[in-house]
Amino acid sequence: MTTTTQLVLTALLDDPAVERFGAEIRMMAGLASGTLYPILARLEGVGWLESRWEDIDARVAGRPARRYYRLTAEGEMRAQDALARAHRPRIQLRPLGGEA
Amino acid sequence: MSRRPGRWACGVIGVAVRVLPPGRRDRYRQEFAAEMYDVRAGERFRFACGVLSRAPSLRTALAESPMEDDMDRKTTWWGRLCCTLNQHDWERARSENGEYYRVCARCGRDDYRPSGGGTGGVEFGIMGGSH
Repeated sequence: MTTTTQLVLTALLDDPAVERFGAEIRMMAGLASGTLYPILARLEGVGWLESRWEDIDARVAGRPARRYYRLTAEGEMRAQDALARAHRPRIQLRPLGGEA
Repeated sequence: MSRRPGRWACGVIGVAVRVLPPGRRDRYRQEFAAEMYDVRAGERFRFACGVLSRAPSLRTALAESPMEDDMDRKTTWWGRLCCTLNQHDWERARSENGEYYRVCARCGRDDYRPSGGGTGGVEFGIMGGSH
């Protein structure tokens, strides 16, 4: 898993119940524009994410409707697992001292 | 300050969207448009360039997870030649906001133009490709 994907998942796991739109996720993850969407597309493609259009009247709001993203139940579980594995050191170091 | 994204930024986003599979263009056109409104006016062009630079990656990501609305495009050399000569195999398509437009079943080009009349600047003007 790439570092950028980890950043996106960390942002989404900040509060998994909250739906977030692209700019919000991008700012939370600290990513450059354009980097986010391929990651979101992949995560959505494998079922970790679900998305929906914001239900607003664009004329009243003065802006187009946003696309909101949220982790699915399965996605949340798998994301936590994937991040835990990504952060786990690959070499298990033995504690120093204690043995002669 | 006008919240509406500028012409250049919209144009760059329009080019970026054309890189994507035809069945996904509407969604991302709207999604990028919405995000432009959340970017400061002075940074919109840079934002759009960033989106354009990563459009091939997005296309690859979308290709890895095909959806039902993606079209199957098996193009022969003859079909490619026809499209090069602007003899497209037009099919009728409908955007997510209910507008009809045409899309070529071979090469995926479309003549989609969002209706921008009398909307108070909310609509997102994309440089639509026409042929």
